Amino acid sequence: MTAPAPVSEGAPKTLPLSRPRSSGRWQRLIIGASSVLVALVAWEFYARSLESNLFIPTLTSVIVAFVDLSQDPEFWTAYRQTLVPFAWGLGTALVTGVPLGLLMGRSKPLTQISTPYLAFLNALPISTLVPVVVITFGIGLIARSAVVYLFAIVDIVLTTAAGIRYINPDLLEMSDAFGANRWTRVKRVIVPGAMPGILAALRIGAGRAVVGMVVMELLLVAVGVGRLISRYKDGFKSPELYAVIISLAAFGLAVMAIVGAVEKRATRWRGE
Amino acid sequence: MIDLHDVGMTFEHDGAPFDALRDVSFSIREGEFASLIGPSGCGKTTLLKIVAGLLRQTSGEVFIDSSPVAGPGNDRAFIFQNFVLLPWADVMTNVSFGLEARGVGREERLLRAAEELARVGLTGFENHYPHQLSGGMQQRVGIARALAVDPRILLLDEPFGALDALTRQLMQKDLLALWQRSERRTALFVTHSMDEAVFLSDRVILMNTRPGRVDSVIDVPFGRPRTEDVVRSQEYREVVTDLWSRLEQMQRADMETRG
Repeated sequence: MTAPAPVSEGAPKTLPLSRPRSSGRWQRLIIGASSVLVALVAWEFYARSLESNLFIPTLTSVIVAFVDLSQDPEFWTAYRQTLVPFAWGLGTALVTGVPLGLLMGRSKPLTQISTPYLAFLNALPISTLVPVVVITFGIGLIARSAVVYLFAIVDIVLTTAAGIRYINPDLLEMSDAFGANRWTRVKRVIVPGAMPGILAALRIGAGRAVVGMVVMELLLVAVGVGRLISRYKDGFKSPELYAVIISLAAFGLAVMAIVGAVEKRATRWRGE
Repeated sequence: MIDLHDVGMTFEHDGAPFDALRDVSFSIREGEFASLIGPSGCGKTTLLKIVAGLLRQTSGEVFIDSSPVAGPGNDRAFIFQNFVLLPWADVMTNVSFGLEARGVGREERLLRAAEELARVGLTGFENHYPHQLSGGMQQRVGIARALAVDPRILLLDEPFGALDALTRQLMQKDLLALWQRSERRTALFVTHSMDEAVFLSDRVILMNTRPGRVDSVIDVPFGRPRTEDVVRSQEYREVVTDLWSRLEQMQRADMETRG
């Protein structure tokens, strides 16, 4: 084996060049975009046909409201106010939830102990816990972050734990065969192996955190984006209301897209 | 060098005990290449893992140089049938994994790994990922990984079982060449193929099944190197044919008793 690899034997698999799939991808994009366009046009026509646009504003008025809002400093302040508990709540949920999920994935007893609590939190609509949070923490930043935390934590833990189960047990045996200590095993086998699960947990957790960040503000505290929504709702300012809601959806989509991109990059080793 | 005394392995299967191995005894001399072969279910892989320290026998003793085996050790390295490379790590990281597990520093790891890669003919593939490599190449990474820790004993679990016939043949020759060039490490090789066992080994340990036990130990009466002439000779073909028919008989007998 001192000679270079015999060509007849292990030639590397050819990496696909341009695949037909890329034209399929454009196709999907165009079809998706077209359907949205159709819906928007239908909305516009329907709205214009109405007597009153109090409840269903026209698309054009929403667009105008959107543009006005983006120039309104109060809009951006509202988002800043809302994003702080979002970041704190999601961050804490990740920092506590991922290690817990990893430990649970590796330990049956721990799973058995934690399951009742997680099942309880999972079954409950978290919004119903908001009054409890308020009683415990008040209505400041900690309370709002706590609500985001509660929304995100369960899915983060469960998704991470599930991800561990996908680690090929042969890899753990191999690691034992070479006498790897716990640290090497965690670093080289468990964490990278669980990474797809961890990133999925991040993606799902971020989605839940977006929900949580608004719920608190809608239900009780008049700050941030929730306050805007309440204000426009109470003032019957539908174009502005719709604009804010759409901005939230856009935010949520942006978060998911970013995490999705990170996920894709980190799991490149999976190959085609 | 490797001594097994009455090794037995009993598993629990649906509550009932099941003897995977019973009273297995044999010795392997230092520098010897021995194959473990037998019908399906004879426990040869179980036995290999016991020698590796990955499984603990339920009875009997296993000694390496008069020290009882108590777990995996620096003197042994394992090569797996399904390669078992870290899919998220590149070839260089994979080859140096064994060294990393043993606490070897980064620079020295990379140096030794590069040497082994050259020895298996994979220089230039350091930054490739396993999914970009063919089966044969992946196994060569596995072999390099095992050799990098400089083991006195190589344990191979049907290393070419997952490869196509042609690749398999080429790899057998390459493995022999590698093994012969090294300071005559001891090798214990599990296989299903009598051709492979005879070609590679100094001795063939023929096992029977239900329960797994040693049927006989056969010295391969051919010197090294095992050239094409030797392999094609009448004598060689006779030895192989004879052993194949013994193996076949065992497997058939087992299939019949199971019904």
